Amino acid sequence: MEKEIQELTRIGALMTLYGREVVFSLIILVAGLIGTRYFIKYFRLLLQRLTTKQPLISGVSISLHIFLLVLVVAFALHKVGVDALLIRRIIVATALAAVGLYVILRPYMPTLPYKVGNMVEAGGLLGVVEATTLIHTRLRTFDGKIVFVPNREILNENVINYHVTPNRQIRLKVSIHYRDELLKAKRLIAEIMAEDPRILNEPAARVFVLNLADHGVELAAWSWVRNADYWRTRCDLLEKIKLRFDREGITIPFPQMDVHLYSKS
Amino acid sequence: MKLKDAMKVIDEGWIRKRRGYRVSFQKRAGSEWVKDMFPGENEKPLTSDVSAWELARRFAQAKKPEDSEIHEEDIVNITVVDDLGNPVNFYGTNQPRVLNQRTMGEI
Repeated sequence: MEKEIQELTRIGALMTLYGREVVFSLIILVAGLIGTRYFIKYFRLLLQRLTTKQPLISGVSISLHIFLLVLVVAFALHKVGVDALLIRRIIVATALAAVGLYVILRPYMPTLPYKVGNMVEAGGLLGVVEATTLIHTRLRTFDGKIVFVPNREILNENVINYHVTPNRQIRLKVSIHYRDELLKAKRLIAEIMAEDPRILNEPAARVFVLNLADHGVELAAWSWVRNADYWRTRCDLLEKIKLRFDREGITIPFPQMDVHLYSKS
Repeated sequence: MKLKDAMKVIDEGWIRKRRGYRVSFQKRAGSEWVKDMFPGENEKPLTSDVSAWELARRFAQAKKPEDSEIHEEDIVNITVVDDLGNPVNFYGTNQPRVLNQRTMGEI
């Protein structure tokens, strides 16, 4: 019991000596952390007005945030009585150690196969990467949902990054009836693709017979477009093929089966 | 002839690949009919004729004349043209299509 009382008396004496500095430092620390957070939030908004490059915005914001936090902590430590030279040495040593570890360990660190701003298909979802953290990736889907996908799921699955290559292939499958003119159908599809300004000349668009299926002849129509034009072009091609076939008397068959019934007699 | 050269001849000749589409129309300005189009000549054209025809249809509906009289700011003879200014057949019928049509005699 006496020991505890002595300890408390010692702490009381220390608080009397250094209490004011400790309180000031804590206030500086807390105020600094809160102020830094809000400052970075508005700084990010300002950057978003100046540029649309998300990786740049994230990089600059994070760097500035770390810098300001280090300043706040250094100032709080200095206020509590830690020598300024010692603080500088600790900061420099920590920074050098961090950079050294990063350079040495980077080849061994699992990295996500995309950056902020990339359009990806990950975790069964298609969307644009808005942010990445150590634990999850924030994905904005095209119907406006924000999804937080755990990074461990992403690293264990196949991820499609549509940003890596500038172009993408549209693969359409169109069936025609066995009675219809095959060469005419191929020619019509080829003309539709050739006229479209979004379809690239190289690699050239192709139409070929994919399969002689149960319900009809399956034609494949493959063409290349820029990533951004993929969905709109695909939908337009399907619409135009259908309308053109209707005008030219080419039928797109329903899946069907012929059943023959024989009587015993 | 090399295959590459032959492919180039084919690509340039067998069917003309349009470079874009615009919605062309005539509007009443004072006592004259003035030709105009959107997107403007200094703007990038539309890349989809499907979109261009849909915009033309909505534009025509928005500016449909209420009667046969000519009014200021009337908009007539709406159609889709390509990057060279040539009329583009409507993809649904493969025929020329002009919305809010007025013949030269009426104008």
